[in-house]
Amino acid sequence: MTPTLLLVYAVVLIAVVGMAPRLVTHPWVVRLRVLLPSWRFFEAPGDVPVLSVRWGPDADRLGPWHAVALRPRRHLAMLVFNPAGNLALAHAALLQSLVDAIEATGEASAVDTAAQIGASAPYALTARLAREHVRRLAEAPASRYQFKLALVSSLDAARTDVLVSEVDPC
Amino acid sequence: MLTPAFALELTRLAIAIAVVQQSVELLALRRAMADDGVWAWSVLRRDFAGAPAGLADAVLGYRGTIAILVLRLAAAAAVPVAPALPCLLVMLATSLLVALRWRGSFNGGSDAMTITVLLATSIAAAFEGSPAIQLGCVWYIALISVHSYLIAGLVKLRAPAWRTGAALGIFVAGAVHGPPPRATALARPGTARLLSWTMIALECLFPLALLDPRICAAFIALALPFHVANAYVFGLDRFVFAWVATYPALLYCSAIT
Repeated sequence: MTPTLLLVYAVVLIAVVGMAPRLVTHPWVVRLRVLLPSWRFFEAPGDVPVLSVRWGPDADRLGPWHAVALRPRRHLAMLVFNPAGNLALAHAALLQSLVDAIEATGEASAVDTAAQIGASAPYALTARLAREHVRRLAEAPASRYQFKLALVSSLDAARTDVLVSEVDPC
Repeated sequence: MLTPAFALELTRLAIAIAVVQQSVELLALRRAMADDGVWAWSVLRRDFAGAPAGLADAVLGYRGTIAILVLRLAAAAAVPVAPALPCLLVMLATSLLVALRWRGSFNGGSDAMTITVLLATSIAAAFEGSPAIQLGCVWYIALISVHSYLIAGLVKLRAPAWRTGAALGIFVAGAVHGPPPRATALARPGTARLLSWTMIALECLFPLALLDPRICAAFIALALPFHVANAYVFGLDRFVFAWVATYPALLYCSAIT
């Protein structure tokens, strides 16, 4: 009985997995997604969102872009206690949620996109993340900063800017 | 001999350990949730535009969140000595609130598995006098566990980059902690392909664990180091504890099929 049930289950599942997943964007589905797991871990390599920041004394004198590295140190204790690693994973998920929000706008220009989604929570949280990195990276206190989000292909490293923020005070 | 009641007791203890770990980690990250942190409630509350503002502010604001985490930690720590149902309900409610606070989830799959296990063990504890419900809850945990491995395996099997071994090297190179020492071995196509197919086989064949306790023990013996390796390579320490909490149910179900 059990082997037959397992076989039927496997066949149904293979059929379901073959279907393209639907991205559900309803706010309450997103908030309660912990109750609707997909279990599609490490499905396939694709585009990775990369955050970059620059800063300066005013909007006309911003320095070069610096890619923000979300890479805490690896150590053995992290097998049981890894707050920094898990926070970095949460930040990576935040960047992906901002990409999803950007794709939902359908806006072609990276600058116009920022104007469209500037009031959303993923944008505001990313702005705070960017500002935190500016404060960490800047040798002297900066008064203005800007961030941009790019999608980098994990297959061929091709890079596309999808969002360039306004210049904001630090 | 494992009974449903004993399997559930082991599951409660294991999930309590997972919740302690998760709560302590989040308390260590309290600065990120403070008013001047990246995850400040003043920003996150934009997601709750329709919710009663006073209540949401009180529960999910910085002080409310810290209180929730402390309560969650206390409930988990009390599991070995206190009545099961109140501890489980507090852990379940606070876990859901923590997920809400982090825009749906802090750590993806591990949060989902923790809540799945807490939900099933809470229902089992609420209907302690019903053997049928106890058994149903044990089966639910075992099936979700098996299902999670199988889905993860099938999506990899579908992806050409996994079948060639290229995907593993790409994911390891992009790991949140950076590639680990000796990850260059994955640049050799043969090694990467062998490791990829080992993972795919382990995950896709996991439902066989339900057929016999010896097969189940063998799969668990392989899955445990697999999770520990994921913790080291990808920083997924929470997954180890959340999935281990499903193993007593798996072992029980494998013995009665």
